[in-house]
Amino acid sequence: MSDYRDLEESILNGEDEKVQALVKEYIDQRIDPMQLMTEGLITPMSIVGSKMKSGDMFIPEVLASAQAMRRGLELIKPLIVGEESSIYIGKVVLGTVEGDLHNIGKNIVSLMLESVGFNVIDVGEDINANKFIEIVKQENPDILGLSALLTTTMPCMKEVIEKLKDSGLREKIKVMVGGAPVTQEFANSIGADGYASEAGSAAEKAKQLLGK
Amino acid sequence: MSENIRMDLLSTEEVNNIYEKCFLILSEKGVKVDHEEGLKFLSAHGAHVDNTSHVVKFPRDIVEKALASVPHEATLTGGIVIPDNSGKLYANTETGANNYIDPETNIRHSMTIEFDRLWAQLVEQLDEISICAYQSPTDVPTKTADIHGLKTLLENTSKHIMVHPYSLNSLNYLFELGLVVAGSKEEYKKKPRFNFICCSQAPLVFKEMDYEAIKLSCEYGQIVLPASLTTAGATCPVTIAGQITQVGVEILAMIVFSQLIEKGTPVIGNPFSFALNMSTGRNLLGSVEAVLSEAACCEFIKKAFNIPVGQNGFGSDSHITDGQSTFEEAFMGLFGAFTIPDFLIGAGALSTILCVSPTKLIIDAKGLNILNRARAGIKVSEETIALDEIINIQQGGHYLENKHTLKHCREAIRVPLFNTDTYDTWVADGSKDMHTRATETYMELKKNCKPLDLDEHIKKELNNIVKSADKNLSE
Ligand code: B12
Repeated sequence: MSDYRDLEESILNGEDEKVQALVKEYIDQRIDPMQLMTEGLITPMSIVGSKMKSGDMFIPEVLASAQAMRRGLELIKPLIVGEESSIYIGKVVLGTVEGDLHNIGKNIVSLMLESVGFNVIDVGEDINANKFIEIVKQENPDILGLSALLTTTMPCMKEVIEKLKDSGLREKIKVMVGGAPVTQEFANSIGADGYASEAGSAAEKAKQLLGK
Repeated sequence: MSENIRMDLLSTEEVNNIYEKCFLILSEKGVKVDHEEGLKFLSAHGAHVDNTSHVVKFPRDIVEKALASVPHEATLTGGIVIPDNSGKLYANTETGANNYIDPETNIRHSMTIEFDRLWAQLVEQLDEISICAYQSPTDVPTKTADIHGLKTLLENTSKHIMVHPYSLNSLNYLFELGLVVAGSKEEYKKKPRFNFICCSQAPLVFKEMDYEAIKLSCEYGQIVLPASLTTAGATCPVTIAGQITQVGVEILAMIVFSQLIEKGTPVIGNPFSFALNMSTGRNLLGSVEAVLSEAACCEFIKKAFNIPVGQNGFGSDSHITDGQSTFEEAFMGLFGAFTIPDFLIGAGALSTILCVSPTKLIIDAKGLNILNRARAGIKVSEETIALDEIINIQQGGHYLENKHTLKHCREAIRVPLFNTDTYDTWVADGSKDMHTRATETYMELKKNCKPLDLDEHIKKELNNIVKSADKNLSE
């Protein structure tokens, strides 16, 4: 339970306007923005994350909570001095590989990662290896997450990892892979750092990869 | 007169209401068609096309004309006409699974082309399965997995085939494989061998492959199988009525494409309605909502568009053949038997269509006999009321020796996989459960598995097509 019980309740209920109003009030009370963010927004979101994992909160409810949290964050962000990275526990670029348009699973993983405090850049579907490299160069994430639902598009994951090596980026980031046909065995065979079979364990794996 | 039992999930007013909504959505909202040539063609045939957004809207008269020309029946390989006159239900295997369970070890493996061969050879021996689909082999070049799968089916089963393309580039090769076996374009058209899946990208998008698949099906005279695969709450409205409406729109759009391209092309509607586990996001097909929705979608399509339909009838969300898979199969199956479909899809499927099991295929095939018996319903006539028999029986007597009993005693079906023995007999026979008995049937069938006896030149041609696909599509 955080000290910001009213905020926590509003985030759990997915009430974005109320969250904004409360955040404004706290800002006016000159509460330390960093503290407000971690205790008032991130802590409730981790409660949301565990409630999702235990089956007590449903995905649409989690989405509403995440949206409410973001609305509060918009107000706090400008007040935080220094790096944006200090707001999040890490940055993830996430996308579905070339030739593949399945996105339900990827979207849920994105949601779950956000709920545990990651900054997630969702780059969409049908992304080819070169494009992933370009985005990695641009965004400089801690983790690259790749999703594939077709056995016929899984090889693109390997290609991305090869290209990361070729461009000297492989050592700088962790690569996570997933999607229904992907297995731990496949992840190992292409030299990925992490694999998870569902969104809850994907978030845990991501934290573990960054030692969080 | 047919005695078939029929359960209606939707009233006539409800069907009409949703039907009107489909027209409204097609004419006012429109669908997205990512096929340049298709956009030009549709525009030339009276659709309103926005070339920037690729959104196509269909005025009501175009849609009505398409519904007037689409055939109400389809003829499958072996002369099977659906809807069947007597109301018989046919069966289609699962398609596209990435894994299989080896009945001999109960171990789950990644799909192989060798398994596809075995699958087709088993289907060839199972009279209850009329339509076969290939699973997704992972040990062949990835970009041509569907082409390898189809070739393997054509070499090993003479049954009708459901073709499930994995990419735009595969399409021509898939149609060409069928043409080789048919011998000539005329024969191919006269006796279509394929139900060709054209699967929308819900909500309301037709990717280039979908339109192209319809176009080529029309050209090669194969049966178009417009599939609208939706997940309630994710890719269509969360409510069942909303799911039916969107599925209706997507299938109706594909009927329009097909009839504009080639009037009279046979079309079989096929929703694949999934529910969502709202806490994990896992797609479900065995949940009660998914089963209700699938049956209602089929009912709507058949009543509103008057085309044959296939319905999920066998799959399960369980990963093994167990109590859950058997219950889900029976539950789904009964909906299939008592509602409107012409065939049931998914025989052999587990893991929400990610895995197949030959043991489950056999259980599903045998189960179809029960479903068809249930569907046939109850005959009430002077002969079956058997008034004389009851009048003549001595109170407390028995009917076992009656001529009437003798005459009708073979009408009740018996399914060999089900245990009806006493406990002692069952124990003496090894205390086997149904899974074990189905596995034994599998071992028997396996002994007789063999490829078709195709002409050498056909085999050679099939090989050549696959070779050239491998060369051209795999960089
Ligand atoms: C829904 C669905 C569709 C929808 C997708 C809608 C959408 N917006 O995503 C539609 C209808 C559009 C579709 C299209 C196609 N599909 Co599809 N589809 C499915 C289905 C039924 C469910 C997928 C799904 O959404 N699951 C729910 C989510 C939540 O689960 P998930 O994706 O596995 O994700 C979870 C985990 O895997 C993990 N995860 C996922 N990504 C990541 C990433 C990381 C980094 C990590 C750590 C974890 C992780 O966490 C997620 C959440 O828990 C599957 C069968 C199945 N049971 O998987 C077939 C399936 C994948 N499709 C299949 C096919 C063939 C197709 C089509 C080719 C059909 C066609 N002819 O048009 C097209 C392909 C289009 C394309 N180019 O991509 C086949 C694949 C066969 C193969 N070759 O491998 C399957 C297996 C069905 C089958 N048996 O035939 N499909």
